[in-house]
Amino acid sequence: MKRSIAIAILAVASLCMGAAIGIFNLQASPAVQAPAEEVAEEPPVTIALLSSDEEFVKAVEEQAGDKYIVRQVSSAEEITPEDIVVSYMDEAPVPEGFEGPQIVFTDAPHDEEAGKLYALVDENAAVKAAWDALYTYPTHCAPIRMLALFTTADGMAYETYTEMLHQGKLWEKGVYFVDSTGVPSEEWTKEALDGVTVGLLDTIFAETAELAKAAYSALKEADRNDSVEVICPELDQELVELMIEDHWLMGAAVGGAASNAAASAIEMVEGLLENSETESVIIEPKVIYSDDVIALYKSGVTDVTEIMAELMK
Amino acid sequence: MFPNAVKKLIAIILAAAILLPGAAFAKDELQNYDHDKYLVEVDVSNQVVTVYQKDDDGEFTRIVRRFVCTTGQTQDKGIDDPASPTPTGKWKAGTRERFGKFANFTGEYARYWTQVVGGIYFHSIMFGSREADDLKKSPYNTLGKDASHGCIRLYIEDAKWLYYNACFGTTVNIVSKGRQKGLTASLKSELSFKDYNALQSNIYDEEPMEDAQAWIVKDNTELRTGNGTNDKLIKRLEKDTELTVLQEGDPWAKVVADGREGYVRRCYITYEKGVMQSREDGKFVAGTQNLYAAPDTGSERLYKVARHSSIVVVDDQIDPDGKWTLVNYWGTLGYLQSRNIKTGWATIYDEPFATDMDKDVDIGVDAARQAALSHAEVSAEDIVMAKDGERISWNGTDRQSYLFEFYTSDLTKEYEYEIDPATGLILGYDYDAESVDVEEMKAAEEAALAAAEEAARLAEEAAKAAEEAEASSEG
Repeated sequence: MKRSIAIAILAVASLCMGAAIGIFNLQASPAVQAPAEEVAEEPPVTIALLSSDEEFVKAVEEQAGDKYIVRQVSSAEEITPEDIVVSYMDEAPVPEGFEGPQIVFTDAPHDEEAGKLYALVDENAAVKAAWDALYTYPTHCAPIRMLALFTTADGMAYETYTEMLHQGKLWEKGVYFVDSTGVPSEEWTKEALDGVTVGLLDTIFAETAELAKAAYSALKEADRNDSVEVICPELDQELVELMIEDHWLMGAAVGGAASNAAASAIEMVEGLLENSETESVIIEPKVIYSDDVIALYKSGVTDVTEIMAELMK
Repeated sequence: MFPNAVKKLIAIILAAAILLPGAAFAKDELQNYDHDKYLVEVDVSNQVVTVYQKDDDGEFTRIVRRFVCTTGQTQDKGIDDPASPTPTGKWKAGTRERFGKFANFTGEYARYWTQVVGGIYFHSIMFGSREADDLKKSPYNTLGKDASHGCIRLYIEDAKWLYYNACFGTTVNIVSKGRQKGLTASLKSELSFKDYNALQSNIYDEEPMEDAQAWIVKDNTELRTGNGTNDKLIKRLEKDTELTVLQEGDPWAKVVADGREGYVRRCYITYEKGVMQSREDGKFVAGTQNLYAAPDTGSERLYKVARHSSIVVVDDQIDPDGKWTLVNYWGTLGYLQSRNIKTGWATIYDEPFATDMDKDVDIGVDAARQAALSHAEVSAEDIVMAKDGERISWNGTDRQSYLFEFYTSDLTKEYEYEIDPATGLILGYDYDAESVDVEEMKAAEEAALAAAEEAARLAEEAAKAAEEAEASSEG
């Protein structure tokens, strides 16, 4: 999807959501209409979570704490009229006739529907953020000489790559595809690095955390003294550990969309319960830079989970 | 390593520090304003440029970028084609221009100029016009060989990188490191000229900023074909002539005046009509000079300062003979021999570049003492210290300095030093080889001995008291 189209969709979707909030004023179940002070005296509110994204489910559970009961459901039959439904992306539809409040996380344009709040999730946002980080951090101002590791040529990551290549922003030194290159990514990266003289390479883009780890290993083994960084649109704890191990090699990773979405879900639930006007949200991922990780680490924050939490704020 | 927010703040502060001296360099579209971020090394023996950044220990060891180049021709090739080697030494990068014409070579252009010194620039291989697809083939093919008039020719992308990142004041070290087999060839592009030309003409860039306007402040200002008084005179310009400034350098600015491109002395123009940004009694260097780390020609040579460069004098009274002057040269503090500093037309730097002296750090009395002893060429064992790091006001200002006074053991010399606490630089020194005050020296020795004896007595008493206290508590 072209960036301009994506932005347009997001803008339209935001307007729709705002309209939904204004028009429908969210006629909710009795539990929802009760003032916040009185809720505490009633049974805890249950969030029925229609999501198969384990990261999102875990994040919602963590952020709900003891305040709400979170129940992961996989079908419409499991939803009760007292629930607040949070559906995340392409999950099973809520049963017809359900009149309770719903919070819908979606990446698609949608029609206005009574009783629904929308949160816009751009599934390609992490990829876009990673490319942006690659191009601007540090600012190269010359075509970025790079190796690129993709899962496939059909995804958004490769689409953006070819677009930037044609714009004269990138300089291809080698491209790898999990589904077609035919050798393990680490082996391929080692060979590719052997073929590029020290000083002629800036970055390695790795589409997944797994590819990033392979690229990191290959770079580590190559023991070069040029400043080549791995940039990845996925983030996990292991990548942050690699940033601590060698911040020169593991440059940046993008994550936190699930965590941000969970935080937004809880905020929207609270808004509904308090009957306050809930504002539209667009879920953005966060770029984690190794410089920031190492700065925190050196300041005494050595627990990786804490570092991630701090940088996700 | 700093968090990004801190980095941005530092960049803003550095940018402000660099841009403060008038509007002289405001045109630069830099992406980096930290002149200490990169070290650019040009190896003329291999025709290779390597850009380093600092490692975690603060040493320039990490290679950011390395590329092939063409430096100045080192051999005479006949009477019409003399050698024109690129001048070796450590320089500070200066002015720049996006797509410039060679003022003294008819019909040739190059992209992304970054000045090394005088008429020596990094720039792209040449073009036949100011069109991005009009690249010349011959310079592309000769990359990796010494063939230029002194400039350092580069692939377009490499020239572009330097243009944006090797900001004003970045160190450019031109050296000869000896041949390294295969290195040059490994850095050359494998693309045919046709393919490279297609690629380079597509390299992305933002729209250029508007060129600055300026006005001549002195009648009969010379517009020349190059940035030197030996370059051909194009014409003389009258006061208040309006100029378009293509390169905002010092001591020379490249301008367009009355439709002609050429160079004028920076001190003869102003960016604000009617306002003098230079003065007739300013300070500049007469010829290209070494900037030293200490007031001693045997000390480290920090940089070469180009002829006619305007100088910010920090202190011209640092030594008894007036031989040395402490200067701020584009953010680096160092010493020039006073006889090479002249008074005349020079640019005013009301807000000099920030230096390490401005940092709120203290190297400590030990390091300061060592700086003094090193310069005096004596060791701690050979002297008697009379004043050991007393903090005093420097030149009656709020700034403090360490004061050291000491005598050689053979009573033949007496020294006095003032040392900057932030940098260890010598802010002033004096010595006397004949009039050592023996009585004063002996008094100092006796005082030191008495102080040591008193300290020993107090320590003994304290130990005894502790023993007694322990014995009474056990009892």
